[in-house]
Amino acid sequence: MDFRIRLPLLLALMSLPASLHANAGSDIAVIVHPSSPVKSMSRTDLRPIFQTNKTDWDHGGKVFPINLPEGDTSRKGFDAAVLGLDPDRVARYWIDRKIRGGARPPKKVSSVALVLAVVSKKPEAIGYVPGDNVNKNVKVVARIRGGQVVAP
Amino acid sequence: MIRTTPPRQATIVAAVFVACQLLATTGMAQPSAASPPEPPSASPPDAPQPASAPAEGQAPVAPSAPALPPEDAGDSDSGSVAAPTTSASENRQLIEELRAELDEMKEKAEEAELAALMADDGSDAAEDEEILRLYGFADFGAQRIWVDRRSLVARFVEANALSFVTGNVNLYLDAKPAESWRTLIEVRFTNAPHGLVENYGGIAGVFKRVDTGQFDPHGSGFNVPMWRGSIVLERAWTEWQPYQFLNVRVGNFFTPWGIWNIDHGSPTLITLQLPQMILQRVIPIRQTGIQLWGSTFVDDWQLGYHLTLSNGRVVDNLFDHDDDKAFGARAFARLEMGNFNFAAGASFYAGNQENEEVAIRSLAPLEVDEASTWAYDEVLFGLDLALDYDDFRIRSEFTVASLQYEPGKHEPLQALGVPLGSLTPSDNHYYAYLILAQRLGFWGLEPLAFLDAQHLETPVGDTLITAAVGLNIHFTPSTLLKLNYAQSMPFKLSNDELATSLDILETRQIMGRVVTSF
Repeated sequence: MDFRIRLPLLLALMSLPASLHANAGSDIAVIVHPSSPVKSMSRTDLRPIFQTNKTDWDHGGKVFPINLPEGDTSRKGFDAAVLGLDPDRVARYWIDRKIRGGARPPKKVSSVALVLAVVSKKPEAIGYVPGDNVNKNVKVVARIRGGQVVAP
Repeated sequence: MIRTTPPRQATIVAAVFVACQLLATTGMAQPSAASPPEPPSASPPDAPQPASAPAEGQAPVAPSAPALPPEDAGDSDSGSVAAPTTSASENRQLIEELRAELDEMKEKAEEAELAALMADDGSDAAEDEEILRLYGFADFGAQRIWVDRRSLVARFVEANALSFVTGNVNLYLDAKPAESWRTLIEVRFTNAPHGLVENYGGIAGVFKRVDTGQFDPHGSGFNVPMWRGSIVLERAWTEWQPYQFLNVRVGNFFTPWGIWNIDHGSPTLITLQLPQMILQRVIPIRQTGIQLWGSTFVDDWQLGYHLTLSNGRVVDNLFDHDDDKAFGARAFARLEMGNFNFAAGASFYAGNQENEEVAIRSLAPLEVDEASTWAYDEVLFGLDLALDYDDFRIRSEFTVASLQYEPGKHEPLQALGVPLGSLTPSDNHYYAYLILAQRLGFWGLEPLAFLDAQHLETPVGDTLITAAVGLNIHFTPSTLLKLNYAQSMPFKLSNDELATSLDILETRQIMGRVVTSF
């Protein structure tokens, strides 16, 4: 391959969100701050939080949910398993919420690394990352495996 | 104020572009026949994993670029291509510098994003946080209403004429000035009013409207009319959200009532046809006052409430003229499971309306005549149901309105077929509608049916039925075409004699709107 062609392709590949090619074949881990008293969460617990209908943790404090970008593989898997919605319906859901004047959607960050960084630093935060990206600075409270929310 | 973070992707793309340009101008074209360099794999072994965990207190570091090709990659014995003007080592150094710059930019972008998220308390520290969001919706299209020309209704400006229309142009200003605080303002831009209609014409005289026209100060000629328009404040409120179970909203808000008044906008409403309870303002569409609301969760169910204290129907005036406030309440239960959603609620409103006329007979000494001309108490109650199962949607509401005038203070009744001097009686009114819609699995088609009924005694019948069919075509989640055909038919269920023939009051209507949300 011509080097003049190959290099731009290489650089363009670098600019892709890391998580686009990070989740193949692995589960999704739902993570919270290590200090959180929450040990396990079900779909029933997660859904209203990521619909921003539920704003408070049961143990106190505001919930700070974090989403990955719409095109992210983990985001699609998470929305399908937790919200029960495909990307088209997710988009319509949030449009309807906006028009009604409802609460804003969860914060959206650009990368898995940022999800990990925020959750590891913000005790109220909750996010999700590909299972093999979990580190010791966060706590897993649920996993999404085979399209189902299961215990960690 | 809008604060934005420079788009990270754009920065990276710009860097890639610059790199490509530099490589092109420095003669990076190399022959590929003799010793082609190994193409880099998508995930070279020495490339870091995309989401490697940062250590505590350390900003995440973006993945580094994959390894460069071998240093001799450009060396070739092919003589068919002109010799490069820059040596391979110089090129390599240039790429290294660009790569370092790229990594630095990515790192800074992520650091900025992280800092904004961590400082998400709305304080001045959140310099890069998005404090104000702008979004909205718009719909444009055409409509025609057919009315029997023997009817007075046929004299209305909208009747029997195909008209292209600007439906809604609504803009939301959604601000979060501090944590647990939110201000939402929704405005609707219109070309109205061009003054109030003083007379609709027909048998009542000549159509006449108060002219509020102005001449364009920027016109180079004389008397150049200026495009008129106004802004309608759909709602404007500030909310304090201390707890899940208690939020406090003050300002001008949509009455928390049923489904329609909350869905409110053309992208969210299923049909173009409006139910009579909305058209006739049976419920106060919006109120100015204070609202408490909250919810809790029991398993998958969200149970919530709204309580309102307001000026009541006084929305066109800046002030309420008495201390009698309106009270409202709503309770709802909602289940959102994705492919199965259910919501049901009950709404209540009680208020009174009174018209007082004040006449000053003398300033010194002050002599004032005050007279209450009409006054009534109203109590409204409503039930609502919304059900989604996959692509099938049901919406239904029932509302009963009780208007009880004080003795001797009945309001003049101004309606079709009513003799002059008639008074509005105390009465109960009933309203209900049902919508069924099924989204098909192709082309975004969603056929729908709508049935609306109202029951109240009038000189021209006591029941009005409106039936409509429609088709929504969802191009994308944020763009759709809505088509609607409706027919309204008045009936007389009681045996009382009618003041006019019912058949001439039938109306047919066709509407179409292109709807976008943004």
